[in-house]
Amino acid sequence: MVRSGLLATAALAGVALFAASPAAPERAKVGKKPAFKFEQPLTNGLGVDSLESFRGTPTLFEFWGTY
Amino acid sequence: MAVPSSIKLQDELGDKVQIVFVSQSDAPAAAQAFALKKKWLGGRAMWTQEAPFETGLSYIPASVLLSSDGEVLLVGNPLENHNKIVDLIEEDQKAKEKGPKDAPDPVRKAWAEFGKGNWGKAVTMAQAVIDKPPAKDADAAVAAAKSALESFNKSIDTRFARVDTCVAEGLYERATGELAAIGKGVKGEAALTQRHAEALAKLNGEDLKAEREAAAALSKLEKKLYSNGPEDGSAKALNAFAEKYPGTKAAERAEQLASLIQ
Repeated sequence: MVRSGLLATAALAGVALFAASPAAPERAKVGKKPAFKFEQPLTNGLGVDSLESFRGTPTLFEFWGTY
Repeated sequence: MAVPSSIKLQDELGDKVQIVFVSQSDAPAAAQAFALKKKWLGGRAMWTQEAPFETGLSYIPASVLLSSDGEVLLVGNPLENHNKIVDLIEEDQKAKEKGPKDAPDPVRKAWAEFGKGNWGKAVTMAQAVIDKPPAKDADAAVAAAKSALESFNKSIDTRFARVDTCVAEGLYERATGELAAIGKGVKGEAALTQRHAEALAKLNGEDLKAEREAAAALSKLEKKLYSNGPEDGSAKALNAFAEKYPGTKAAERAEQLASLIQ
């Protein structure tokens, strides 16, 4: 009984977490126009808050890491 | 690490491209500290920890190029695709300068002027189509001109808003550069020229004098820092600057930069 209650709570928490998570970004495919809204300001971003903000200028996104 | 090649690309092509570095493995401050050490900061490039899309690739560096219309042009390795990326950016610019093929001729010409950076002329041309529609396919031409005018104004508003953001962040050198570009673009259109003049007067006004002077002083420290990377005494100099110009945006930025070094 206790175990099933815990499972139910965990399941509800999982649903709540899933619902609160931002939508996963879509896969970039040539020819498509992806949409995305940034939650945090970009460093040196000067007000950019979405992919749409870059319209008018070709934009190169480079994925990198410091490791 | 391919980051320097993209920074070089940003330097080479200037306003023709915007570079955005996405580092999901590090907190923004850690990524900035790393970039500062490598002398990669200080340009027009932007930095974020949020991936706006998945590349579908299992390696880094990986790059995604979006056209000026937001369409994905390329996904791949920036090292292998450097020349292709440059070619695609140039093709994108040429397409902008021709205007959309499917637009009625007078509206396509307005788009072409906009693509060349002649925003004031483009606005005037689109407005002229609305005020005096062509005899042939008038309704379609007016609808296209209204749509174009809306896009032009939205884009110009974004540029003016960017100046405000620069001022809000104490980036006066950048604000001056942005405003100079706007002034060139809006030439010939009365309302936009007036708007530009007002923004310029505000930027150079007495109210912002202290912020402007602090920003100019910090700019010298920043140039040295970005060019040489962190040196002995860099953090001390930045903290001393913050104490000398208390309460300014430049002081805030100096403290933030100092925190990346310590």
